[in-house]
Amino acid sequence: MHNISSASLTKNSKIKFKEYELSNGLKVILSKDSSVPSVAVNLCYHVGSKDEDPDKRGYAHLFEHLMFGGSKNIQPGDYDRLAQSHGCENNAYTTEDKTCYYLLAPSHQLEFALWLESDRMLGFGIPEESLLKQKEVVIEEKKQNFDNRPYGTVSIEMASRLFKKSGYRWDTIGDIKDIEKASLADIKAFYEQHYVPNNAVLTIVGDIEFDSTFKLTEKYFGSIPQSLNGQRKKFQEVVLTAEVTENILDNIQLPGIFIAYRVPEENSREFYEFDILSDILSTGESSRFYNEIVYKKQLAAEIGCWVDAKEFAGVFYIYAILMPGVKIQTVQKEIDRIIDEVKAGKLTEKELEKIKNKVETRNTYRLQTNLSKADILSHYKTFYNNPELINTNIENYHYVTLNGIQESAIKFLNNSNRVVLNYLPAEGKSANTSK
Amino acid sequence: MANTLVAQDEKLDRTKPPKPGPPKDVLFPDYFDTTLPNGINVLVIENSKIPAVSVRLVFKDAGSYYDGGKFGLASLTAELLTKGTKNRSATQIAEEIDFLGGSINSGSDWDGSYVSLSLLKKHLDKGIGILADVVLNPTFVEDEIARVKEQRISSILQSKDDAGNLSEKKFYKVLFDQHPYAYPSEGTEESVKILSKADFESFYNNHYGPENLILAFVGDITKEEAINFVNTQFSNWNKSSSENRDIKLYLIDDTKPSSVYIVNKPGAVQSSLRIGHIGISRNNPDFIAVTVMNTLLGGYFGSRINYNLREKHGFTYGARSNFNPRIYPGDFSVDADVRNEVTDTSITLIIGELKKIISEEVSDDELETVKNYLTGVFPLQLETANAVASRVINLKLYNLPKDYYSKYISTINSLTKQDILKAAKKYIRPDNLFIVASGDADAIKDKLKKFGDVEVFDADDKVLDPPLEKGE
Repeated sequence: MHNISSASLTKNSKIKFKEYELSNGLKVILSKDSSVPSVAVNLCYHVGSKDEDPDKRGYAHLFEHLMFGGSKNIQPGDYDRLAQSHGCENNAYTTEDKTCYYLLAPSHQLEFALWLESDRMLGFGIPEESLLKQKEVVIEEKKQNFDNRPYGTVSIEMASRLFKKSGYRWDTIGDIKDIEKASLADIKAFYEQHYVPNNAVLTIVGDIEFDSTFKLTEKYFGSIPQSLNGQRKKFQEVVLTAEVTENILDNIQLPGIFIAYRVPEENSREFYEFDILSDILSTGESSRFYNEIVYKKQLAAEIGCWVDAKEFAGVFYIYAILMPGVKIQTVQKEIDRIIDEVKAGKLTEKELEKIKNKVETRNTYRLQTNLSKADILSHYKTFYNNPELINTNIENYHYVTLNGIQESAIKFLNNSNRVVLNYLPAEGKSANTSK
Repeated sequence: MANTLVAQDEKLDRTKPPKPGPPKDVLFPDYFDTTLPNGINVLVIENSKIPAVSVRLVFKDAGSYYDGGKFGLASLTAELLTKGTKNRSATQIAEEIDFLGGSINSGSDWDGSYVSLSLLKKHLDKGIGILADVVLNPTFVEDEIARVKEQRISSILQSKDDAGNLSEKKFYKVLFDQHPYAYPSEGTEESVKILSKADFESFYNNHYGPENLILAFVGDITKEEAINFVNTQFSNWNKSSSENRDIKLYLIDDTKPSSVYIVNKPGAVQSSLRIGHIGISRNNPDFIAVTVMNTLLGGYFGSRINYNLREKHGFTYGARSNFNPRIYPGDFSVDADVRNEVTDTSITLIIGELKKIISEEVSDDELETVKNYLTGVFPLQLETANAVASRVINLKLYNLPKDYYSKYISTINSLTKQDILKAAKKYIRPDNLFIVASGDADAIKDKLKKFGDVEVFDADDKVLDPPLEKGE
């Protein structure tokens, strides 16, 4: 095996794009790709669950649902119906930091897509009826994806123990009690504060012409008034000082261990180091965790590791689902032993190079679709005012060194800086029921 | 500036959607298709948008349909391919392929077994060497067999915690009865436990060979390069794998009155529903009509079933209906996770929608919307080389006409309300439903009796209540 030179890293063709800003502060990014007659329209609002008030947990996500429930010229229920009858696929998602809406339209329906999307930035039109219905839908979503799912409550249980002051201390799904009491006035206030052009990035990627597309964005979005009321809360959070370990009973057969360390935010130097480290530990069957804990010692049925990177903080997650009959302490000891090896500088150049090759492959594949490119461009513009990161972030991975990983591991992967949740079978359940 | 914007906005009528320009033609990409003397069907789907290549192998007649009662055999045979060859240990295979930044995946479903390699083009040479090795020279060593069996058993155990998984498995079991589709491809705890080295070797010998292989090169690769790889790596493969192909057809009784099966999950806060019956095979000539009908019924967000259960009633996060087509007729099912208190009401609403679609013509507006949706999103299904390849492989695996995808849009547009009603009447039977709910039996059982005889099972499929009465 030999080194893959840095020259070959830059061989991929760059994603070309143009940036604009409308007079109301809406940022617009356009990128052309005519391989199929289709366009992706991504509208990213810089608001997520961390921006919610502590007694209004889950409003950003509830609001995402409500954005399909009527706007100035679109009747409740018509957003989806119109999108589909014009040949569009559409959806949305909410994170702690942003809420993104997207439409995938046949290219001849681009103007329709902009008409439809701009209307819900233009004016509030959500009736009480939509609010009532979507509260119920969100409550069922929480049951389906959290309460009724094995280990499904981890993100909720982790958030409140990892974070103490900021809005990161609750999960994006929020709290049922808060959701139930949401009033139309609350919802309208949320909309007026956050759903304004100067708090959003509009990215259009696909079979377009730059000039005519920019003119269309001006036509539909240009006259929407900006608002300067949206003062961003200053981010405040405390550092963790002592390890937290908790046992949680769940409707499961195999125990699971979930470990989370607080690490720096996305796009920091440390983020790239921890991202690579997480791959060294758990991506591919030759990775350290997999090879030692799943393959050689057969202690875990599955194991994983990743960085949950947010705007102002990061979390380095490790989890393992145990093989039947294995003790949680045994697996924790193995995980800790491997983390200690990382801190002792035992990783090899070959492992680093392997993961850099993996990152390059992954980075190449994620630039395949218009939807993915639009999402990435919007993301980097929203948080770093730098969409060019779509082309250059690979360099940040390339600069990562073993020394850097070791130093960051020593600094952040400490017991006092982590939460350990042991998920155990609730009474009456046992992993040894099989003969 | 503000004034000009206001002026512009006054001209702008936002109350109606703007008129579209003419639609562009959507062309299904050309591909290269040839069959080698040893029987391998080579496909090349070229697309140099990103400098990456996938190589996808599909072995027909090598799915779990051919497990022969040893459930999980096809799937574990596929998994074991990458766990040791005459030239490389499992660890070496993992290290070499990981180092290239690539991945090799293998697995099975009911209809076939699959191996695929994905990596950047610059590593293709080395990657194909590893791929050919795992396909041609697997050794099925004992300690790797033991390991994958343990892993599989724990994953089966884990899946019993998942309500959707429980209801799906029960649904297939009662629906397909004696047919191989009744059993999960991954196997059961009992069946996996007793699989032996001889089983794997024999499955490999009987079901992996050049004449049932579709070999697709996908992405940044020319047909010349692809043929060159085939000639170096696969052209000497001449073993015959055609013996002992059991193609017994299984009869399924699909005329039984509706009946209810509950998989008990004490304390569950929702019921996971699977409601349906036998569907159609993939090469059924009515497939596109059925797709349009089903999309309108429950196949997309704006469908009748999702609208009714989610948007109108708020009973669920989402409800869907699907025809899962396979080589032999698969299933038709409506799936939704609904809260306990409305489990029976949801089933009533779903059955109501099934009855409506077989008794009334759909509206012009609904049909127009579904046609526009399905034809509008079709380009997205051609956006990546792998998405195109999946479709080309389907043509081959299911013996569909070569012009199937080039006629796809015009076929959809030609369908009438009468065609939709005809397809619904022919393929949806609201009085012969298998109704499966995984949820808290105590909370839901009594209210489900109105839909048919109710049987209750635990997660291990043992009968809880009432005592088992064998159906005929």
